[in-house]
Amino acid sequence: MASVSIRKVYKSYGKVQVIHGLDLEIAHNEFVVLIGPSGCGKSTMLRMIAGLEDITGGEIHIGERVVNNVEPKNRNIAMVFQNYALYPHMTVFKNISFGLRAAKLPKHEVEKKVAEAARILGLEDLLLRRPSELSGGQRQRVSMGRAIVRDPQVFLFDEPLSNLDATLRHQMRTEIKLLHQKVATTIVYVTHDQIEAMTLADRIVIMRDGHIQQVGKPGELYHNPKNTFVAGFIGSPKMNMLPGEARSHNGAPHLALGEDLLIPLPDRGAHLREGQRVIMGIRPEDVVMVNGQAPGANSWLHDARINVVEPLGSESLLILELGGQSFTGKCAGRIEPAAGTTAQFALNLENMHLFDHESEQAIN
Amino acid sequence: MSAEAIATPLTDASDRLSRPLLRPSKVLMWSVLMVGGLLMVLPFIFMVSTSLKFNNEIYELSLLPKEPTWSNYQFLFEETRFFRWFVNSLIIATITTVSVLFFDSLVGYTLAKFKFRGRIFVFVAILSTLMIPTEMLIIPWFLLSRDLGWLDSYWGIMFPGMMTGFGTFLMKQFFESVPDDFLDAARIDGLNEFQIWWEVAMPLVKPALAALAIFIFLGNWTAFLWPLIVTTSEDLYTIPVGFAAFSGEFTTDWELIMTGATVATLPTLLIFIMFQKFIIRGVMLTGLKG
Repeated sequence: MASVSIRKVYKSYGKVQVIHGLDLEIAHNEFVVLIGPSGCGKSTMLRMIAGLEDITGGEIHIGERVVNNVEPKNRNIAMVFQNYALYPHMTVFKNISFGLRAAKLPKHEVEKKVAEAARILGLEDLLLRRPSELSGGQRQRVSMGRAIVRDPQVFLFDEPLSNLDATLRHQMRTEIKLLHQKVATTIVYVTHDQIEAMTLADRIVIMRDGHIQQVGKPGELYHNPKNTFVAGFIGSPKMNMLPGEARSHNGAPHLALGEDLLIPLPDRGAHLREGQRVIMGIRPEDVVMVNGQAPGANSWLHDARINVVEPLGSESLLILELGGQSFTGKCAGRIEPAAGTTAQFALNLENMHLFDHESEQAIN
Repeated sequence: MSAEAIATPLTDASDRLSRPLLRPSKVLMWSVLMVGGLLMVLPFIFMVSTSLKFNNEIYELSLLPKEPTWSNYQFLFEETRFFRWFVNSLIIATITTVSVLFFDSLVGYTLAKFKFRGRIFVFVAILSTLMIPTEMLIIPWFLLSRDLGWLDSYWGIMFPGMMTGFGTFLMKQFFESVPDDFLDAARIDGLNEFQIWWEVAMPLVKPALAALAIFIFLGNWTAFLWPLIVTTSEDLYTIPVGFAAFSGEFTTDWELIMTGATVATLPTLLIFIMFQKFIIRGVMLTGLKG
């Protein structure tokens, strides 16, 4: 077990800088997920921790040690790859024990460690098979087995579930979470799937273009995004984000969205200047069809035309036209409204987010 | 049963009869293929047949010898140095093949998996050697061998073929298809770069190695021009060079040449049957032939 400390780390390929002075402290035993769109530098960061990429500037510490110039094999890490990277010409046993045999561990110790890893991952019956005879989920488990036997200080996962189908992905997510509980170790996990990030992480690091956008617990990122990028990236379906401007109406601060829609601003927005341009964000679960039951105390009611209904079973997503603006809202699954009808919707303005139009940063 | 019901199966049957069993296009295709196949195999049959004929019969173009005889085989092994030439060819083709497999795959791997300054230049330089015909290289090779004292030696015969541009190119292409994650996983597992190449990358390109081995072995087994030029003593002759000795200014011992050729074909035939699918795959993947 060890902490990982990334201090002012830069990475350039020739003249192109891809990581711009990144700082991150990962506590020991913590499960940290790096997430961001393709090309944001998350995999590069992981590979730098692993030692598979050189570091252009800054320092990476694993435990007490600066590992900038330490070979991958000496960093006491293990890595699980997206395409599993199982050697096709070796059996599961040989794949798992490959690193141990390379380190010339005594045979009985190798066998003991492999047996232990196989037990944890339920691979006992598959040890003599070759990777080609395994399913995707089994291959990923073997790949994790190869990481476990190394008894590493830090586990690195590089999009380990992206080659699996949705059901298997869900199952493996649970297994990884269980693994973290069984083998208490620091984990750095890269993904572009925000559900994976939300469900697995102790803390999420959102990256974009080689910069960290926000670091925080999943709930923190969901409820208090620092900027429009984080707000849009975390949460599915996406947060509604609409540009508007602050306007006083009947002496109270309001937000004008387009020509027709005036929404009262919560207290947080009271200090906005008249005419200040902002972006309003509101999550679909805060735009709810009223349908008889009394709306919450801070709700603001408005009629909306339902353009599209997407039933998900437990609830339905509704694409709405509300005051000339397009919103995504929700209703309970049993209601089944018809597309093309009009209904009353309650917007929970307490949970409204406001972002500056220029800087796209949250306004508190 | 109505008349219609009875009529239906009859119509089906007559349909089947009216469909021609042999369509002209198929007949044509098979005929061309058979003639082509026959043309290919005829020299082989003629070679085997001639090796079983007596000297006075060899200019008769019959495929079956009148009085089949093993005397040519007996003569070849007892009166000539054929066995020695066979061993020479075997030694030379084997060593060259092993060397090519080792060095070409090492260079191909380096070019495919490492980024270094001048990588493309090195690759293009290696590739450009494919465009120089062997005949043009014979004189430089000879001068080099003479100056370094390699004339009339095994090493002299082998050195030009110990590494090939073709093999380097073939192996580079194959290694490029090996995912980097395999190599990274091995790096984390604690292997050094040489071990990664040998223990991880090489087993993943076995089909390419097999194809290359066959190309190189066959190429050296049948090589004639360079071994003829670089050797002078009969003990160092390879099979094709030895055969040339059967062909004199006034007479040519065709029956002996054909007998030797038959024996010499056996290993290549054996290798081809064993590795047929690899050869075809190798040719398909590179679009080149050896």
